Amino acid sequence: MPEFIGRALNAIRMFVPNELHGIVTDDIVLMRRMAAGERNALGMLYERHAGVAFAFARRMLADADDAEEAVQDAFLALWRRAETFRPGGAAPRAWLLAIVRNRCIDQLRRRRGEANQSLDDAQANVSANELWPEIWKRHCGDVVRAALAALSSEQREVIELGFYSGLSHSQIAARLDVPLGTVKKRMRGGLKRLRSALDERYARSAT
Amino acid sequence: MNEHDVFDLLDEYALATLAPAEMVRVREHLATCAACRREYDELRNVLDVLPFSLDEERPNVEARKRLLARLDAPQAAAPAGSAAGVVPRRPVWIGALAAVCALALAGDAWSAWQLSHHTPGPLALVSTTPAPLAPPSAVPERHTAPSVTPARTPTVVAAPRTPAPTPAPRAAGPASTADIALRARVARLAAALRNERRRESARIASDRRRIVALESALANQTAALVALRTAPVPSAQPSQAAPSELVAALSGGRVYGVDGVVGSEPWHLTIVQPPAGANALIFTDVPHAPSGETYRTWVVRGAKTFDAGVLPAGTQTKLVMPMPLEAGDVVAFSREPLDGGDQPTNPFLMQVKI
Repeated sequence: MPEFIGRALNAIRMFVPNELHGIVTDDIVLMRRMAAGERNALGMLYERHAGVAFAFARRMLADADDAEEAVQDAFLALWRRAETFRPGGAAPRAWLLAIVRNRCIDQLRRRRGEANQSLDDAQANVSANELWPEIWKRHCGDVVRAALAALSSEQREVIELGFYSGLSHSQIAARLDVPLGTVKKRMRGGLKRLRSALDERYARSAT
Repeated sequence: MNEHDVFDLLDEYALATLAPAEMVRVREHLATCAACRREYDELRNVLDVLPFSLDEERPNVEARKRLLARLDAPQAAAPAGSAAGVVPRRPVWIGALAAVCALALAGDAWSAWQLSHHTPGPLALVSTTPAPLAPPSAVPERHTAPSVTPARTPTVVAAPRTPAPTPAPRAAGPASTADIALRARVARLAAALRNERRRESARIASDRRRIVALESALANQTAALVALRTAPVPSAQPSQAAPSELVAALSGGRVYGVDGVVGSEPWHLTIVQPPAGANALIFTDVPHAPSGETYRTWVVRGAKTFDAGVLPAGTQTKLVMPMPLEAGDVVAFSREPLDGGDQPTNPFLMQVKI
């Protein structure tokens, strides 16, 4: 195949890549541009992801002002750390949301009067192996809601307390007045069940 | 801590709710244990999608400006998560409304005194709200998110600047005249709040409609292109399809191949101008710029030179240009310092006329 054809096909593949490849690529390009000091790139990333980041922070903090501050802090952290970003790792958005959650947990711990040791953004917990492409995540709101609804209310409760309220397993056990072992079982069982529901749904949508 | 213990802690580790020392121990273990890493990745992937179950909410429209302004603040260089608040926070609209009402009252101090001492009801309530009695210029332009936003501060602040109506009689025993004047003033403020809230809702609704339209356009385009990708023609008879025809068939756009040598390094670029005035794209295969520098893209149109962004290095990367290209434009590239301005300072390394 002549080289120019290969290049054209490449261009097409990148222009309209399979699934959301393009969105991830764009985010990675924007991260690089941020690393090069381009403020516009930060603005563009903000346009893309502030909606989900703000909804997430608001769900955790139940306060629009605190949520906005957490989101701003997270975007600034992303800006400051753009140079350390490695495209082979987690997608920028997963990183951003992990940092948003860190900021929210810091805030919740302050509100609860717990010892305040800020979570380290450099170690923000994200998976290096993305199972589901970004395009699917963007459109999977109903799927995730359905998967959550399929959990038992006990499982959903511990997951929400752990994920959105940032409570440790012992704190959840104390709050619900159940043994720690029960919390662990509901948490792991609930996450596994969510995982298989999401896998199944993703496999169906991908075929 | 043995392997079983760590396996047991992985969901709390993924949730970042372990004590700091345990977080470190699990992290160290994960670096050496593939089985635990797999389990962690699985848990983490599930947690990663949970935020997508929430309906997206746009933050306050001013928030983006505030974020970019914070880049200039000295605190932007401070370590992430430093506990000190960086942005002036609160008072939100309630504070602003209270301040406004207080100003309105101050314009008629005697009546205000009378009211706050003799008249129970909403006015007394508002005037005793523990909010700073800031002058209008000091009221931060913050307000809560759309769903609970009653008003944008500046409009509210502007209201009391209108000249007061008839001054209230000073020595009047019954507070009725002053009462009426003040209640009218508060009613006007409330109406201003309502109007602002209505405008805000309309703006949000129109933004939502635009997003839905854009998403559906994206979905259509993606579907069309997936269909084209799976169509047998391009792969079955590749030698018959010139790239410009392929892209034209695909989208009605135009493609320009650019090859050259910069220094001793080969550069391959493909410039794509999609149809319908969309912004142009460049797919690149160029080496990294020397340390401390970037390759910048410029569009020379007539006597003007526009900044089109940093050209990403490496294979299969893409730059979305900030504008569509027009016939006669020259796309040019130069090497610039990382903090270069919006005009080229070095000679063009390569240029192509569209």
